[in-house]
Amino acid sequence: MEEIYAMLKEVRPEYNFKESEDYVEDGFLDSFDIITLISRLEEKYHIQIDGMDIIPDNFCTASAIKDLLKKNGANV
Amino acid sequence: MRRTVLSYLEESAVKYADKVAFFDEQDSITFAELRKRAIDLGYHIRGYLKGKRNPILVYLPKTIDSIVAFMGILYSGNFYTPTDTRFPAEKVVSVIETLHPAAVIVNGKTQEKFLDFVPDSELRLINLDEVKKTGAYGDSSVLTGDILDVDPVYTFFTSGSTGTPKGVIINNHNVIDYTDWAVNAFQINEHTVMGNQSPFYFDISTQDIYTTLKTGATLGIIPVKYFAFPVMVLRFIKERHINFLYWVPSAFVSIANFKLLESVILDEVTLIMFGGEVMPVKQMNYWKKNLPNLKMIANVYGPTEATVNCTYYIVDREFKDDETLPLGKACENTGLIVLDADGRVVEKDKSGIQGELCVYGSSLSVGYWEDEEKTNEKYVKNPCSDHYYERMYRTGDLVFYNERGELVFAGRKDFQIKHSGYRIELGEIESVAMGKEGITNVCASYHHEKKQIVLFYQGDVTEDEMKNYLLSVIPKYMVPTIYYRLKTFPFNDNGKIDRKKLSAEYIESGDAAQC
Repeated sequence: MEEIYAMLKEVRPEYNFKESEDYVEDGFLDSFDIITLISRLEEKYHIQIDGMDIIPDNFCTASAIKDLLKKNGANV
Repeated sequence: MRRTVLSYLEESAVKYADKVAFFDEQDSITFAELRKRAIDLGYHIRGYLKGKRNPILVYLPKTIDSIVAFMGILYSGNFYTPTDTRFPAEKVVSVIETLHPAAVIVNGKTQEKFLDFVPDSELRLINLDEVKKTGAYGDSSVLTGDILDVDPVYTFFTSGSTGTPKGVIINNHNVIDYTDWAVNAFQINEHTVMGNQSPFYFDISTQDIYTTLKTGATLGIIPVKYFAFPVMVLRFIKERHINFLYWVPSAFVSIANFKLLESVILDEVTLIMFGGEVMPVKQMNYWKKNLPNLKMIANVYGPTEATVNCTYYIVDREFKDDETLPLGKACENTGLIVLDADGRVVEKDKSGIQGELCVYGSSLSVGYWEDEEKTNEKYVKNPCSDHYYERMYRTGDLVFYNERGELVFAGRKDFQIKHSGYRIELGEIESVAMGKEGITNVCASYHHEKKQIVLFYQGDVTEDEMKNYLLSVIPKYMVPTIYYRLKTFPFNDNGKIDRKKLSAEYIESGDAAQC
């Protein structure tokens, strides 16, 4: 999980992701951030995230992102 | 002849009174309701402001309320400049300092944010939520009676991808001329349901809004946040029965790159069109292949200064992934002149000779807001008009005619470089690089001090593979020497690749010499 927080911090250093319960609703991640995050996740975990999985529910918290990674075959 | 764009709304509010004109994520509004709310706002504004032709800033979220504000401002005899409530404070302040708006339209939610940004402002704020019903709906002529066709509809600030932003003044006559043409060219009618992607401060939205008002079509405002999650855009299109898409290429490219059209079948979409930057053929072909009922694809081009578009090309043949779409031919009431580097006119039968595209005709803006110097620099005398003074706008874009007599975009004049004695278009390098399999985004740039061509790209291709590919398709002097394989590209507020940011981060910082 800390790995995911670290990655989020890289994308938007100004926010404290541990304090938010919904990054999308709170405006922490805009469309450019999502695409940046996806390509970084894909590279780090050597996976390809299915476009159909790119929905707000899968990016609202670090644990949702972890579930998304698992679903797409990452070892997290 | 029509005088004002409001006549579109006046007529549709009778003919299509109870039909939905605009919808967003939460709400919808019919033509008759829109007219009523706009007239109420028109009277409300007149209560505060004397005179007409005043600029009014719109500081509202991208929802139906913005459309009500635009129409209300027009009924009041004034004109609008939209801003984005997601803009940082400096940008809002810089627009205010250039525009000097007579008032700002806000709502209960955006008022506070606006005051945070502009705390000591003496600007009059008009809260849309506090507008009272006047009941004066039958009587809109009191408001519109003294509006002229040359009165402005809006001032848009051109994107800052090159140079400083300028406020382009577009009047009723300009919008009517464009809208009347677009409705015919793209067969827009009361059955058309458009899906709006463009911000309201960008002039793709001019077509979205005014063709809707003219024909009784419907415009669905796709929520901005959905574009971070392309599948949500597709679901919105499908669930809301949207059948017409006019977007910037980047929005089409992102959906194509995720290969989502095989999963969400858009069987109601019959027309797609794009403009604002170059549409890569590879992604266009993906859309073409995966829209089962597609009838028309259009590539349109035009500077804000010539009201939305001045050329169009309806795709009428197959294109290979590494080919470039032509800009096509002139829109109605538009004259085009191509001037070579020595100021001579390039004739249509001289294919391949490059020059700057210049525009004249009914679409031409009167110029820039409070900037006579810039106006005189860009709007010049038409050299082909020997006997009287006719204005012409220099686009700064380089084009040439192909063998079919179609215009083809070659790049920005500012992006033309002189390298090893050759005159090179960075745009040409980009379109070739984009044709390589596995490439999803490219941007070519030039390091003037080191005299090196730089290529930024995104995709599953190594630098060596990219270089070898380019060496096999373009002359060696055009092949970039520095390569940056990026995980993602920065985009500006209009959704275009942010060249300034790329250049500032990689080239001007001086670390571009490593390859």
